[in-house]
Amino acid sequence: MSNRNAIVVDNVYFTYPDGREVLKGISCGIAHGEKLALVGPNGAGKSTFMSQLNGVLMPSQGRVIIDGIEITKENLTQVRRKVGIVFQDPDDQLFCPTVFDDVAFGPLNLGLSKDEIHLRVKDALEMVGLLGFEGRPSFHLSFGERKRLALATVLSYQPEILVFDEPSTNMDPMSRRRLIEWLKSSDKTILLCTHDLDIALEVCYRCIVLTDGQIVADGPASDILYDRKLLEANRLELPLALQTHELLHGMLNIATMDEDHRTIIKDFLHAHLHIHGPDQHQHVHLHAHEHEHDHLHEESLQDVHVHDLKHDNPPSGHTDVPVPHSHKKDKEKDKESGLGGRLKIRHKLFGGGHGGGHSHDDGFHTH
Amino acid sequence: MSLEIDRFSHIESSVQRWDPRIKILSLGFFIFVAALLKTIPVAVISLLIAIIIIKITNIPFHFVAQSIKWIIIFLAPFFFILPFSYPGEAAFRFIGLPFAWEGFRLAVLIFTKAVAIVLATDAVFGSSRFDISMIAMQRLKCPKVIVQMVLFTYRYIFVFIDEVKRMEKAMRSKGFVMKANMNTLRTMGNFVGTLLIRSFERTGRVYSAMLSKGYQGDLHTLVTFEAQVKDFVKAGLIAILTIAVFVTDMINIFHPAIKGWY
Repeated sequence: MSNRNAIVVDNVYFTYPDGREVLKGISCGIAHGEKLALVGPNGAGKSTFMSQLNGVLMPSQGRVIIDGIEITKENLTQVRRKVGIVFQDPDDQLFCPTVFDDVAFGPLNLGLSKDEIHLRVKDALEMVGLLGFEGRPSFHLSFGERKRLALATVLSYQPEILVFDEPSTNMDPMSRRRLIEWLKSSDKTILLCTHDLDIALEVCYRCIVLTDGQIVADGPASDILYDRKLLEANRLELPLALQTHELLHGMLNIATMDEDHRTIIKDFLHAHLHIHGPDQHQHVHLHAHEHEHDHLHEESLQDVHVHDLKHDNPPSGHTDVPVPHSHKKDKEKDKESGLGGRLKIRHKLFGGGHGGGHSHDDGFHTH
Repeated sequence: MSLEIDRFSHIESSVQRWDPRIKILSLGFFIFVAALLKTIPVAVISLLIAIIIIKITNIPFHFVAQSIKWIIIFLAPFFFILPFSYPGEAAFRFIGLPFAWEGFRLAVLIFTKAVAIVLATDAVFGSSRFDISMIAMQRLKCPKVIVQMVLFTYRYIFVFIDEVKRMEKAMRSKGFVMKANMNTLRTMGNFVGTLLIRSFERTGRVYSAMLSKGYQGDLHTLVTFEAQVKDFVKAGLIAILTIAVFVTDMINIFHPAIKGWY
């Protein structure tokens, strides 16, 4: 574990005054710019963990290091400049009379100049699409607007690390989509504490499963969020998008299904199910039409590279787009099987009109 | 019913434009003196002054009436209790109880002063944004703990009311009907207890959010005040009127509400 990480949590225990031990020896590191999902059932300790990251709660034992600074009571101000927490309930976070005052609260506490504060408020409100709301009372906004405003109140003091507690709770679909797109486009270190595994699947590269105050899994989101057994053992379930995909693909295998229905499902899968990962090289496309392509790899398989993948008979409206990606996982598999060096990898290309993509023979997993 | 005391603060008037610090001091002095008045005619004069001030603010009558409504509800019993309980000469008997005009006069005096004070308070806090008024209080060296408590109480009243409505709806949806029995008392006790616990928990979460944004005990603001000559002219006018009212009351031109009541 390196101190160069944005966040280092080293063997942290936390016990509430009533004697409940909520965190039991948590250790992990989060790199700069990493997007991490912290998932777990109710009462797993996610919120408590989150509160350790800017010293709102101090560990009973162990240490938390933010950008090389170990959190102590003496440096809380310094740490809180680096870590912004967006709490679940916006009403807990919007305590000022107007939108402007709420967004300016953090920068004011930083002692910034008047002009700088105005600039930051404007930028933050612009980022969340609330420019022009400055003079309105925060409590008169809709829930979705209040959620976005809560994010703006944190963005305005420009923390390097953003921690979200259930960011999508109670949001309408459009607000949720806006949030997802924002999270995907952000270059900040992001930690999502959430039950919404679909948002985790779309946004995060990495996932930690927390249960009963302990980390039970830590790895690529593309492994953990597809692991039905692991998720169910921890009172979670597959992301809804994957469940839907599984269900529809299962239906395609029903021998007695007539061709019309099969076509409808195929069309539906082709038209609607696009699950993108946080970047282009880590995503799946859940399309029903499959094409096989062979690729030869000679370079380091850790490198992100581009295949010029083409459909043999693309459906109408389909566009093939070269997709940058890597084959790290394939390389590891081939190492295990004794292969190496020049690899021949066969893909089933599911294609798609939203940027292309591919998946491997053994299922709908990602690289 | 709207609880936003400052919802008409945006209306243009000389009271709205008045520097909040000077406005609080001037009208605060007026309110203090109004509370000390002992004679009904002078109390009526102070009420007229308050009515004129509220008229200048252009705050609609229906909004002011809401404040007065609560005063009437709160003080109406005085008209029934004081005449029958205040020591004095019985003018007549009602259901065997002696009715004393002294008690009735006292009720009128209290009611008149209360309405004047409420109107003046509406003029102070209804003509500036509430947070600006609180910042002005802070600039006037009012303890920051009090200022922040008032500010947050005002901010969270609306959240609290929403919570009450949600809980009430949940209770009714489960078949609860308020009756005069032990079950209702027990349920309402639980209701209030739950509300208090939730509010307490919320304060913890709000405080955490404030700490997360660098709060260290002080509320910083970009608001600046700049008093102008006309602000002091208005203050002078109110001060003269207030002193005149006070002196008139003191020199006992009018018969006091209660003989020997000072």
